[in-house]
Formats: sequence, structure tokens, C-alpha cells
Amino acid sequence: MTPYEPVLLRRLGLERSGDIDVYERTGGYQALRKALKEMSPQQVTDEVIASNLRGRGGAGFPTGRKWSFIPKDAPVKYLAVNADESEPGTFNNRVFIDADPHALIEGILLCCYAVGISAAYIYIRGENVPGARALERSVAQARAAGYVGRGILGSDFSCEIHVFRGAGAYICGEETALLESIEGKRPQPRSRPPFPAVIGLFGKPTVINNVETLGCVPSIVERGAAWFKGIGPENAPGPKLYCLSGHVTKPGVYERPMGTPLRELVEEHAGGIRGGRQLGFVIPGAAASTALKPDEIDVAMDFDSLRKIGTELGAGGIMVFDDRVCIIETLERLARFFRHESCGKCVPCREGTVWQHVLLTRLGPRQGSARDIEMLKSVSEQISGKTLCALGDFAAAPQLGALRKFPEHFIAHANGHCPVRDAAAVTA
Amino acid sequence: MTEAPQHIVKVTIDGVTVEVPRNTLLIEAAGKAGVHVPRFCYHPKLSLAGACRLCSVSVEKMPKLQTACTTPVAEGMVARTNTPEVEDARRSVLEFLLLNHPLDCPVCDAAGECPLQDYSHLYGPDASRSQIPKRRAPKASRLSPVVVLDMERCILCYRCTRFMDEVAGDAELAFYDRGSTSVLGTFDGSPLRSKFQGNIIELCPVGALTSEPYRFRARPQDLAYGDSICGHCAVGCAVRYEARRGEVVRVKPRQHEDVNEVWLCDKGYFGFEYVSQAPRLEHPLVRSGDSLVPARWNDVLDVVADRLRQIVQRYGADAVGVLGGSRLTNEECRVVERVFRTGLGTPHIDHRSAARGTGGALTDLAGLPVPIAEVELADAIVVVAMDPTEELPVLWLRMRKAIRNGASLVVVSSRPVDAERDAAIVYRADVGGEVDALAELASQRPHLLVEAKRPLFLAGSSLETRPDGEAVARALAAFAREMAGPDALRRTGVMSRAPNAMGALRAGLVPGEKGVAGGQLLASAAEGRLRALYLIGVDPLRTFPDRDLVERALRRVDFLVVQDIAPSATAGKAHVVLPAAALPEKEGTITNIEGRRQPLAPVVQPPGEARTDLAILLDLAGRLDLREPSREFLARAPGRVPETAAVLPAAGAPGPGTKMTPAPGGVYGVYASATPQTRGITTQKPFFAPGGWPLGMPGSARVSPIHLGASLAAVPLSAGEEILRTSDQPHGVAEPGVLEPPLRDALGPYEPLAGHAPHPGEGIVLLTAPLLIGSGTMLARSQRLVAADAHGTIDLSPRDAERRGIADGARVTVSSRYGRVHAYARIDPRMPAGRAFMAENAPGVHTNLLLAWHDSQPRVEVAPE
Repeated sequence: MTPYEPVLLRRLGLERSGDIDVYERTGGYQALRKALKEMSPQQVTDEVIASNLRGRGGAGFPTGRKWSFIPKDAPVKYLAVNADESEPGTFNNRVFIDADPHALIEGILLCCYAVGISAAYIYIRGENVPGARALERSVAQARAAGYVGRGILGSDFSCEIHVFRGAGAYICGEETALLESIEGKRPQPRSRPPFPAVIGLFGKPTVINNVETLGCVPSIVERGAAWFKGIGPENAPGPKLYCLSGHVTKPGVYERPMGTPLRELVEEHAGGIRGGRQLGFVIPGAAASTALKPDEIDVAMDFDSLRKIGTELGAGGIMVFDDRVCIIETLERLARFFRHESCGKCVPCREGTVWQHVLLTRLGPRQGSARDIEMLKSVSEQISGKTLCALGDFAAAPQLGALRKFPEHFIAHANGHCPVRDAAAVTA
Repeated sequence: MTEAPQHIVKVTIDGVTVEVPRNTLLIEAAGKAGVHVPRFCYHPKLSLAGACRLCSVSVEKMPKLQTACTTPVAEGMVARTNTPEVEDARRSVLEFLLLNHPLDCPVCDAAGECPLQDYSHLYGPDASRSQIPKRRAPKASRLSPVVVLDMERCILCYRCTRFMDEVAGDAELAFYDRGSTSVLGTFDGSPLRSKFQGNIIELCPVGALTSEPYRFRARPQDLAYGDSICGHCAVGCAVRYEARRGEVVRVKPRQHEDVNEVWLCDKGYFGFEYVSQAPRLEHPLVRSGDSLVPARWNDVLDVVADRLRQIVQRYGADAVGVLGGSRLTNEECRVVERVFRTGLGTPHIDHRSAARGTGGALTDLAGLPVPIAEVELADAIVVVAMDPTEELPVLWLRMRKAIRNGASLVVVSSRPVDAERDAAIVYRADVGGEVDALAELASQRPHLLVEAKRPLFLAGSSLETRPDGEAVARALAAFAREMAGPDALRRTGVMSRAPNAMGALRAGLVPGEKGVAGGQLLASAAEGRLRALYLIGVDPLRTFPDRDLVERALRRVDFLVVQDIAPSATAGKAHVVLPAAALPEKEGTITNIEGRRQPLAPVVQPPGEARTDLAILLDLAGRLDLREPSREFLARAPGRVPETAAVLPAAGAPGPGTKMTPAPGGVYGVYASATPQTRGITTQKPFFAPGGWPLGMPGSARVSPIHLGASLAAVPLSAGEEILRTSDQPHGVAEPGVLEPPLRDALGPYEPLAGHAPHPGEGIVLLTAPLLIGSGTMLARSQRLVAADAHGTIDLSPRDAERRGIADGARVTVSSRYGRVHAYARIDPRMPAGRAFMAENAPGVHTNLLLAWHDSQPRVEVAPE
């Protein structure tokens, strides 16, 4: 195991780590002080651009560039912080907010300073009540200490932070649906263009960043882009919070450099497969990514390496399944999720996810036919790339990936067999 | 969408290059290139949704298909709508939609005019691959008494919800639940209350939203139509009346960008049953003792002519009073004026049946001071004693457009009105206190008015009836001048509601120098100063704000003629009843609130022996020895024009006693020669080419015109083009009509008049006004429309209700010094204490029993029953 000094989770386990005095005592708000004292907003943006920080929500878009798209002369702009975290298999925002809420607040303030924003909204998943309370408490502490509000630390930078509890749907994490939700509307994606950088929250230019992304910012400002780029691969540097769940001995959130091999995460950090079983397959980037076979887990866990082998990093939700789990039944469960969570605004996702799921309810219990496999492929292709937002692609991707990678499981199921269950029956 | 014209870009769609303003949506640019891109959710008057994905096209240098409805064009963009990839995408959208859409076309109202049906034929898969049971949902649930929802048919295009939120501003319709189980509904399941519900039926691209009055009544291919003008109010929306077997069964909006764009209010959309379904006057009637009996036209008109002549001979011409005309055509108004003023010589003519006076600011400022289309450019709108949502609903949609564009609305009203919802300033004036309110508001110099560049100052139609109407009009004029300078009078107007009030005014249907105004005319009759009353399309017993006075007037006169389309309370008292044609049975022109003269076209014949008012009046003119008709006129005049009909002098001809010269082309020719539009008598034609499937199938020479929604701002159809009715487009493009210059050359300075401060007294001051939907001839038989408010209500303040122990919804007795009625209490927290409101046209209640002509602030007592 390579030695690694945690960045994002460095306060995890500290007593009262969410309190401002602990945060300040351990170096907190130094980046903000430095920025306000020594750096112009443009310099902060430049530093983030130079760090090559890429958005941790899944798309991996360069954060500094995203900030630079915001029109400089716009009098009113907003930051929306995506803390909705509602995809199965992802829970790193929750751990990070619990451990170090002030780090998120500091990241928010740095972003707002850099872009010239005076109001930020943290859109936190409604079910995450402790997280929302922790943030509300921390924002109040930060305000009392002069980090939030008018004339922060005696500068002419003012910024307000609002904690907004989400509306309880997966779609709320889609960035434009999130904006609609903050505006008090039904959370459904907007058509783009116009992009949020031009017309976003309340019709104003808006930056939308993930919690983990903003969590990286104070360290970048404090320790410099060069330091940050030294962590992990050059094209996607920095620390990454990997969520490991499923049949591993030690499930949890592990902070490692971007590009840590999947095998290292599963076998070393998470302690390997539980109960001495064999690995069946791994879903590396939560519900919307293509499952990997056991022989593919030497891949580096970063955006580009995973894309190269046809899957996605997503928000880093690694779901590990042992050799007793049927991939087709798993796909049925994923399809049920997407069907349930499709917002219904656009046709292919709304109708296609229902069709996908119905087909898998036949294929899963080995009652389907070869035609059902064909239809699953056809329907998934009819969704992919044709929807209003990326969530349609998310629904299609795991199915299309599995059809490509596990054809023998589909065929067996269509013929009334299941390689996994049959083997289990033999060993039993 | 349109920017400065210099930003023109070239785009190529399917090989056709067109020049369009930069940022035009690709779907519109394609329309300009003659390429139809199919669509469901896109509508040029609504915000972009990008929901249906049917309009996906391939754009060079873009990796994925792009939805043409959300893609702005850029210089050199090259798009294709006919690649295999695009066709696949279309096919898959249609396949997805048909997974759950019930194929109940044989019993669906939309069949034959359904884009889903048409697109499925054109672009959809041949057969279904689905083996999934279709989604089930309640069939035929009611969103309101007039709108029926079939959720199974809904394809979730969000047009209806977007319309309600954005255009109507009535955010009362929403989707509940999520994904494929989304359900359209209202909060709490309570019925829709919007005044613009018909539009969501028009917008629905399938049969999910249907019209209760039209359901199962006809198939589109069986309908004949006439392109005409709505006759319900002074906005003059372009409509298409549709008839099956000689009965009007549906009304649809036509596109007129300068008037109604593509919208209609619910009175216009649903209120058509008065034409063919309600009882109509079908035969001339004469009094025989206590009853009215049918008689021959010839005999009846002889009676009318003889009696009028006798009365004029015996008592003089000023013993005759004529009331009405604001529902007639311009041509008919001219004839009324010629017959009664120039011919018989009476000065007592008024189209406003309850007017207090004439001349002055009320007349100078009559009408909308700017074209309707310019209302949306206003940056501040002041409305005084006016509820635009009730008085001129489609004009209100323009005002809302201005408000959405940033205009500020200022409401000065003594009672709560719906428009206040969107107001920046609401000034609750005391009863009769608008004059003082305006003075006080002026002294505050509200910056949103002082700084406005294009303000509008409008007063409601109640001014003509109110004793202080002239004072309020003058106060508004003074206010406008103070806020925006002397030229502001050109942006100041007093509204009228009746469909041709402006035409009647221009035709001179207002009292002459010695004449008395409409309301005074009835008062004179009640005092015995009139011997004959000739009422045209008015029912004062029901509408006049003093029922007792009307009853006395009708009893006192020797001779009462009622010329109307339907039986009425007033007609029941007449000596002679003349059955007239309704507006969809007429040709001619009417002039709307902005002064736009627009042509009517008949779609059905008048019932029985009923005649157009023009035919009746011309016949009468002949019998009164006015003039002979010209051949040209006879050839043109609609209805059964008797051989004895006379022609009348041209407009501007000299008064009685002078020699009259016939106008070229007769009365009708006055307009016919001036305006070619009046020739626009649209012949009825079948909607679809005979025997043919209406769509140009792919490969055929002609591209389907199904897409006309794309060209809303474009040219009207040329001859020979037909419109396939799809819900994303209007049903024909209206002719522009002729916009006449406003009649406001002489603009005062008006001497201010005092307002009418409330006098002390016991009880609650009753405020009244007619509402959009109520009882009345034109909504007779539109029970469903009226049903939403089927019994009369009285709006009370919480304090007054509490003091009297009246609960919301309780039945109460309302009594004044003049009468007593029963109503249901409705507690309105916005209502000031000591005030109450009742609709003058509340169904089932004769509000005018409580009122008296001489009492401007009737007090009522309200007691629980």
C-alpha cells in the first residue's frame, strides 16, 4: 500500500471536527485569508485552472474553466453546490460533510470570491438530515466568525450561503433540475442552451459544483496548483473519495489519489471479498456505469482510464459483487431504479426505462426470450444519446455495457438458465 | 427571437439555404426553408421544453442529434432532417409514445386532427413491438365543467401546464407524481378556474384534453366553417365557427397576431351554444292580449312602421327611443342611424343601454388608445375601476405579456379584482373614490409611472353607467397628463365591452344634441316622456341596474319593439318581437376596441324565419318610405331581403328634409367601396379536399402543411392552401382588418369634476359589475361554462360576515331599500369592510332588484337564512 496523506478527509476522526474552532486550529480558513489578502479573484481562478481540478460529480469537466465561463460583468451570479448525492453506491459527500463541513464552506467562499458571486446555495439531499443540520450549524458559526456575510474578514467581498434541502428525487441531482428545485419548481431538467453559466439559477449566470470538487479548492489555494498536480495522474490529478460497497470486507469511503487501481481499492483498502468468496463483477462508477469483469480490475480509477475501457468513474461509487450474484438480476434492480427515478419530462427516458425494466423482469427470473435481449438492446439504444439530460444515458449505459460484456449470461437466461445460480446450486 | 436585422445568418436545411436572424430556432428556420420538422412539445408562444424529442435533427459538426426546437441557428449551420439516423429517432419517439397511448382513435375527438395520428402514419413504425400492457388511468375525468381529461391519452408534452403558468398566469394545472406515472391535475382536485381553459384544449396535441360542449359531437371532416370574429366582447378575436348540419358545434381561435395572437377566452371558446342549441326567436311575434303570437313578417313590419309613423305624427319624433346596436355590424348600425335619426328624426338613440351621459371625456377617450399589439410594449399600465380579466380577457393576456416583459401594473379599484395578482401597486379606492385616489396617487409621483416611457392609462367599462363616470374619466386624463405629459392623453382610454361598441359609436348611435343617453332614456320612458321604444339586442329587464324603473318604463310606453336573437324577459313585454340573426349567421364588419374593422362570415343560416338585422331594418326603412334599394345591395345583402326594402343615404349624408342621393352600392357599398375586406364573405368549404386524405404523404409533391405552427409570424396562407388542424397552430390566419385612426383629435384639458364620496348610512355598500361568465342571452345553454358558478354569490369582507354570523358558502338574504334576493356568501379577505360585491349577471339572481338608478351607492343588509 503506497503511503498517502489524506487531504479531503484529514479531519476525519478529529473530535468535534465540524466545529469552527477545531477547523481553524487545524489550518482552516487559511486559504480564504490568503486569497482575500494576497490574491485577486482571477488569480484564484487561474490557480484552479492550473491545478487541472476536474469536477468530481462524474462528468470530469475542468472546474477552473467552468468558472471562467461565467460572464464577468454580470451583476448577479450564483453558486449552486450539488450535495444531492442520490445515486445508489455513492456516499462520499455525506462522509465529507460530516467530517469537515467548514472545508466545504471554505471551498464555496473561494469559488464565490474567484467568480464574483455573493450568494451560494448548498442543495443537500433531503434525506440527509444530519448533513443539512451540520451545514446549517457550520454556516452559522462561519457567519459569526465573519467568514460569511457582508465584508468578509474586513475585505469588500460579501457572500451569503444558504442550505437548501432537496426534494427527494434522483433527478434533483441533475444540475438544471437542481436549479428548478431551488426555484421552487418541479425538478425537471432544462433544455440547453442556454447553459447555466449564462442563464442559471433565477435566470442568472450560475456555477454548479459538486461537494467534493469544492472540497479540493482550499488545499489548491493554500498549497498551490503544482502540489495538487503532483497527486495522481496528470490529466486528472488530486485526491479522490472512493465509495466501496457491496461484498467487501471493509466497505466505506477511502481517500486515495485519482487513478488508484481498482484492484488496490478492492483488495487492499476494502479488504477483499467478504467471506472468502470470489469476485463476480464490479460496478465502478455507481448505477450508471458498465460493470467490470474480475480480469478488468487493474484499471486505474480515473475519468479517462475508465472511459478507455467503456465505463465511467461517475462520482466514484464502487459496488462490488461476489460470485453468487447474477448480473442480470442486478441489471433488473438498476433498471427498476431508473424507471422509478425517471422524471418523465422527455419521452425516451420516461417510456424507455419502463420498457427496459419490464424486459428485465422477464429476463432476470429466466422467463425471457432471445427477442427480449434484442429488444433490451434496441430500447436502450433508443434512449442513449436521445434524451434531454444525461440521466437517460445513465439508464441506457449499464444495460448496453452488460449486453456487450456479459452476452453469455443473457443468452443463458433467455434459455432458462443462470450461470451463477446454476453453479450455486451445484456447490450447495 | 428576432434581433436587430443586421444579424442575419445563412443556414442550410436539407439542401435549402435560407437567411434568418441569428438565434432563430432551427425548427423555425426549417419552416422557412419549407421543411417540416415534426413536433409535439414545441409551440412558438410557449417556453422551450425539449421534452418530446420528436424534432431531433442531424446538425453538421455536432456529434449527437439536436432537437430543432431548442437549437438556435448559427452562421453556416447545415442540418438534415431526413437522414436514417433522424428517421430512426423519430420512429423510436413515436414507438415509445404508442407504448402507452391507447389506440382508441375511433372514439377520440381528436381523431382526424391529431398530430400523433398523423405523425404515426408519416414517421412511425409499421407495427408495435411492445408486449407490455398499456398504462391505465381514469378515462374522462373532469378538470373543470368544460375541460375533460383522458390521462391515458396524454403524451406529457407540458403544453397545457406551460400555457397556464406562462400565458394565462393561472398556475393551477400541474403534473403530479413522476416519470411514466405522471398525472395531470389541479391542486386538491378542485376544478380549474382560469378564464382561458379552452386554449389548453387547442394546445393539446392529442385527445387528452377535450371540450365538454364539443365531445362526441362531430368529426372534423364533417364540419363546415366560417372564418369570422368572436361576438362576445370588444377585443374582436379572430375565430372559426364550425358547424355540423347547420348547427354551430365548435369555435376555434384563428391566428391574428395583432389582435388575439392565437388565443381565446373561455366565453369565446365555449360560449357558442346560444347560436344553435339555445331557444331562439324563430318567428315574428305580435301581442295579442296577454300573449305574443306568431305572425307574418309582412304584417308585423307593417304594424311597426304604422305605429312608429303614428307616434311620430302625433307626439313628434322625440317620442321615440332606440336602444342598442353595439351587437350589430357596422353596416347595420349605419342603417339604424339612418332609419331612426335621419329618417324618423328622433334624437334619442344610444347603443349603450345604461349610459348616463354622452360627450365629454367619456366619449373623447372611448376605446383602446393604442393598437392591441402595442399593449405588450407598454412599460407601465394603470387600470382604474377595471378588471381586465373580466372585461376584455384576451386584452389582459397582452397586458400580462407586457408585465412579463417588465411592465408595472397599477390597479386602482374599490373592490378586489383578479388582475391585482400581477400588480405592482394596488390602490384600494373607496366607493366612488377613484377621483380622490388618483389625485393622491399623483401626489406621490410613483417613479414607475413618472419614469415610464410607454405608459397606458385605462378605465373600465363601468364608467359609462356610473354617475361619476365622467368625473373618473376626467380624473384619469388629468392623472395621465400629470404623470406623462400632455401627450399622455393619446395613451389614455375608457374601455367598452360590447363587441361593436366602437363601431356603433362611429356610426353615430349616440344621442344627438337633444337626445338623452341610454339609461336616461329608460328613465324618461318611465316618466312617460317616450311613447315608443325600439330595443335592439338588449334586455334591460335583466341587465339594467334598476329593475323597477325598467318595468315602469316598459309599462308606460305605448309601443315596444324588441329585435333580438332569443327570447328574453324584456321581449316578453313587447308589442312586437322581431327575430334576428346571431353573429355567426351574419356577414358585415365589426370594429373592435382598438378601432379595427374586421369582416364577419356566416357559417349557418338564421333559424326559422329569423332575418339579419340589416334585412329587418332595410325592410322597415322601405315601409317608412325611405328609399329604394340598389340591385347591387340586394345581391349582397344577406338573409331574406324583401322586395320592398329601401336604400338609405350614404354616410355623411345630410339630415332630414334634404334631398338624399343614393350611395353607390347602397348602404353596404359605403364600406364595400372603401374597404375590400368587406367583400370577404368566406364561402363555406369542406375542410379537406373532397375524397382525399389530407396529408401530403412523403414523396408526394406537396409537403404536408401540418406544421403551420412554425410560421406563426409568417405570411398568411395564399389561395388554395389549406390548413390541417393540428393543435399547435391556429385555425387559419385572419385578415388584418382595417385599423381606423382613433377618434381623439380634440383632447380636452378637461375641467375636473368632484367624485362621489360615500354618503353616510347604515349597512353595506353594494358594488356590482357584470362578470365574464354569467347569465345572459349569449351564454344561454352554455350551462357547463356557467355551472362553475351556478348560483349567485355575494362577496363579503371577513369582518362583515363575522358580525352577521355568516359562514363561507352560507345561503343569505340580501336586501336593499329597493328589493331582496337570495345568494350564497363568499368571504373574500381582500374585500374592505362595509363593502360587498355581486355580479350583475350572476346566474339565478336578479341583482338589479337591489339597485336603483338614482342611488349610486345602494346599501344592503345581509342576513343568514
